[in-house]
Amino acid sequence: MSGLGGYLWLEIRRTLRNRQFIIFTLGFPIGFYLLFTMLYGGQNLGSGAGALSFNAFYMVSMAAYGALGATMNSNGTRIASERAAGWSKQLRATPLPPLAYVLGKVGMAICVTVPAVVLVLLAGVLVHHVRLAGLEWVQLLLGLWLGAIPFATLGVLLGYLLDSESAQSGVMIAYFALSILGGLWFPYQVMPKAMQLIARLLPSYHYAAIGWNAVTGQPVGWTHVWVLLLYTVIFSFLAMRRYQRDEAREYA
Amino acid sequence: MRAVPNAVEFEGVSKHFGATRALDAVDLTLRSGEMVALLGPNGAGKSTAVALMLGLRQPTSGRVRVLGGAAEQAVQAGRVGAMLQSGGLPPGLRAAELIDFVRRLYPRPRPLQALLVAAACDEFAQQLVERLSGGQAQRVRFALSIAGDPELLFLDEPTTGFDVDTRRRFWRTIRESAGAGRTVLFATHYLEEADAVADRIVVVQRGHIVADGTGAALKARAGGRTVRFSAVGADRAALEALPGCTSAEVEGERVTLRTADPDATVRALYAANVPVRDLEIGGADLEEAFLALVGEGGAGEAQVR
Repeated sequence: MSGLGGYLWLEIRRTLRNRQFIIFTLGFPIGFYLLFTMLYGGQNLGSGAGALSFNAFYMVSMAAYGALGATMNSNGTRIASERAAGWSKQLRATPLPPLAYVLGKVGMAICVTVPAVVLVLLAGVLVHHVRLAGLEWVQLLLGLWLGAIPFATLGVLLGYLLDSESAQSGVMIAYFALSILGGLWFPYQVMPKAMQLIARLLPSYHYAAIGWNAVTGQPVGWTHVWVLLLYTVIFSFLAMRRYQRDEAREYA
Repeated sequence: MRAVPNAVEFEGVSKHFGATRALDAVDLTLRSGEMVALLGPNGAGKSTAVALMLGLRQPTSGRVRVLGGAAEQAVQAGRVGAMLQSGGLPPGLRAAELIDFVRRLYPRPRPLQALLVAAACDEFAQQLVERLSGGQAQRVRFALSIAGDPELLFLDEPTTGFDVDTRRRFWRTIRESAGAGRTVLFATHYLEEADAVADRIVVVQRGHIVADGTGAALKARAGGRTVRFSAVGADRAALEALPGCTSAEVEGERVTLRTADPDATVRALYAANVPVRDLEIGGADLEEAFLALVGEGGAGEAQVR
């Protein structure tokens, strides 16, 4: 699709230049990671063979939290405001294929996930000396990166679902709900049973679980992958429908 | 078969939004190389017409052809440029970055530096778009519309927010493109601008074309100029009978005549010994002429083709 590459690069530059993105999306997860590992570091979650160090566990949680922010915050609000401001319409008057607008946004979200994830992992390695085997790192990195795809499509969906007034708060609510209820802030292991049940329904839990498995030397867990795939299909389908509705939107 | 297809063809094009008829059975042909003003008050259907020409909207009925094919095809092929109303620019980009990105989408783009100069964006090219003033942002939108050196250029209310100097520079650039065989259609509600710039003015009112011709022809049709004076006991019917006079309004002592031929009207006025004081001729009061035109069209739905 011609023009998509240039458009993707344009979107990435915009995001990395955004102070809010740098502070809240990249900065906060690292800050939380350092703060909470200072308070609870050295402890283990669970006991026996399944026990895992809080430092490694929370590194995954906060990397996932950062990735959620990177994928959802940038796109949800941006698409909503660009629709309101007429920029998406102006782009439609150029040779850029209409679908490239959406694909560029998804691509951008997947790209800016990389710094969000890598920075937290670096903090884990450098500050808390988290050590993993080579394959565990591969599983962790790929899981955290590709597993973020459903949230990138969710961001697009929210951008088309919400108007520019409600987008900021709507995206925030979805972002925090998925993070907290999915067990990224307070470990799944210490949640009450009912909360654990809710967590298991959310993509954010299954997303982080792939990483948690990696740092405990367990296999990926295909259930998690299937759940994420299912959510990707659902979010993409809904986003596509909203997108088409928006394309056909009438204005006087 | 013609060698060069028409730039735009509307055949019986209607566009309804619910019960609102934004355009109603409009026939319009823009020939290649023409510089046409689409003139009308807000809500007349100008933006809808432009949206149809860009393929952003589909007509409820009728046929839209752009450069010999479907509107979307012409846009996708990079043969069309457009400056839309309220095309908000995406924050986080420098003006030059944004312009360069759009430029590269086209098969035969203008060189970046020449483009920045032509659109008067060179002084703030390295500024972030969210820091630009309204007029500067408007110039960036203009740069985006001509970035691909398109065969057909649509400008929807292009000079809103421009100062006099920028306006002049803007129209000079447009004229240069039009001179190179480009077709330009601009929507405006300023008759003066339409008259000064366009070869042809198409007046729309409530979804209909109510007039189509040169500026001079429209002014004559609308009753060109106004003659104002004070007189005691002026007789409205007698005034309307004066040569050239198309309408007369009497409010106490204050009289306003609309005339197609002010010289003849004033000569006859003095010859008739009307006790005239404080006479002034409204130098082409185009705004008023235009209002008369669209008022007339709105009331009578007269379609002059």
